[in-house]
Amino acid sequence: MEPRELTRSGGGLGVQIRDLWVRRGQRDVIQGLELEAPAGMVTGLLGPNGAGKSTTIGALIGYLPRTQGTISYGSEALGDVASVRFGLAPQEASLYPALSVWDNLKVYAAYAGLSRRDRRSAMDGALATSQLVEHRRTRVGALSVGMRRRLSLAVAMLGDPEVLVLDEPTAGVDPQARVHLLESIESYAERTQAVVLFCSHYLAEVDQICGFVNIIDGGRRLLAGTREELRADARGVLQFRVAPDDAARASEAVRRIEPEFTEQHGLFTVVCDEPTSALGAVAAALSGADIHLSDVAAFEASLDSMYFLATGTALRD
Amino acid sequence: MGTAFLTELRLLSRNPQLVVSLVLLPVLFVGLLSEAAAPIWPTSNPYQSTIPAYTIMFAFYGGAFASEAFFRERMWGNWPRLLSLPVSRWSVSAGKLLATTSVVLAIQLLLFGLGAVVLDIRLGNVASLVLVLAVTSVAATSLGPFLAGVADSQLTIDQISNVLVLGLAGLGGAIVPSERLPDVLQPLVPLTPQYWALKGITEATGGAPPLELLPVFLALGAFTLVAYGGAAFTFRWSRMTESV
Repeated sequence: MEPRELTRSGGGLGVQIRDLWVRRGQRDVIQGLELEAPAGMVTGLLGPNGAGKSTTIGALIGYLPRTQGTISYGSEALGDVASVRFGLAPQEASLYPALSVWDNLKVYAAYAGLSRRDRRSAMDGALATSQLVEHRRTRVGALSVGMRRRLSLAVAMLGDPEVLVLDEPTAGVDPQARVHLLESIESYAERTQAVVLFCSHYLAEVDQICGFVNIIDGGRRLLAGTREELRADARGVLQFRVAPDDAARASEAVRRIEPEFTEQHGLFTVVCDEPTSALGAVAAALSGADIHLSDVAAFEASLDSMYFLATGTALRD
Repeated sequence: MGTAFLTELRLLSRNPQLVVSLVLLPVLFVGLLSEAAAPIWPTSNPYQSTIPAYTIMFAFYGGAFASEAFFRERMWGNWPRLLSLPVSRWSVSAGKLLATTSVVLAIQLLLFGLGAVVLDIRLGNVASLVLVLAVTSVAATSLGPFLAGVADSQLTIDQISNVLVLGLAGLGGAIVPSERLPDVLQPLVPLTPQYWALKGITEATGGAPPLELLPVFLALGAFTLVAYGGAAFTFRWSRMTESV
């Protein structure tokens, strides 16, 4: 499926990225990216593997040099050295496994620049938020994946940074931990009115907590808008495959039922309002024409269907 | 820098390999080899030669530990988080290197102290000796960023370190006296930091004041600069943020 272009302006002040280019090795991984992340809500950053999410985070925070473009926070342009306080929970837990939970908090509270007086209350708050009070003396290497994720998030939130960046914070955790993490993230955005950038592959999570969504691929933004805007625009998608030799006959049959579709080497992508009903009609029509269809997938109108419409369904490396 | 320094000290204190490589191995070498190798060393008390030689040989594993200080953060995925915080990457690096250097120096002082108390080795001008050991520690750990820049795994760091430490120790006279090496290798001997460290220790234990050791300090300083120069080519912060 070819990506469709649909971009919108974002909400209130927050982080804005304009015409960002980042080169890694011999490749422009980010190619003129535009991105908004309004303050006071969770903003989703979605994209398949290799879309450029982690590189965008690196450029935003400043540890990856950008070749072109501007990044601003509110009305303030950010240079290569960030002038706002960031909190980052990277893809990996990014903690010291040889140290205890408490020592990890102590180390990162110091690195976060908290005064000695503020450190203690921030660390106690982080322990409470992550529900790890009873494990304060446990070595991080001995914690479960879910506990490490909770601690990683709590560490990122130390000192209430103005921009909280979360790179797949729920990867590999059980449903209970996922619910806890998502609630913590949502309440952080509400409490601090900070910018919270949430990268995830779980579309349901993004749909659940993100007020604003950016979908990127190939280092460019393909789609952006508030959750409500995206839902209002959402269309269903029906996808199936026929033998390439049957493609021309199948196209005629499908056109009579749903006129908005693309076909490539026998792969049909039909954009429609009710993909399940459309599937019945299409299957009947093709069966009547003695055409066999396979690899059928139907996405009801949702963020999922918008995502697949924008980024396609081909597997990524 | 203080946080990085203290954190690194904590991490080093939980690393048993440090005690094995920098304390147990030199003690083992001294204990097992000193009597047998006595005829090849120039001093009447063999320990006067073997304690400096083996202490210096293994002290250069400090480069591996300094490298690990950077690589470990990469392995744990910590660099992106560290680089997002309001602390400069240079102060984190300096803290890590200072911690490793301090530990290497402390261990060398401990081994020389034990040698003086237990095996009756002469310390000579203590100020000169401490200075030589301090500058040697700086030179040893200066290999850290270079190694972290080229390594893709802990195994690579260990293998390169072994080749560097043993190769340079052999050339520099820390395994057998450098005069006993073949003529063809003699021009290479003064290129090794171990040679200059041992020369400095010999002169310091003979009573030379610090100023007389200026050539030793300059030579070890030059090695340090070359090592950091190498790191300028191998070490990339963007690479540190990639997972391994």
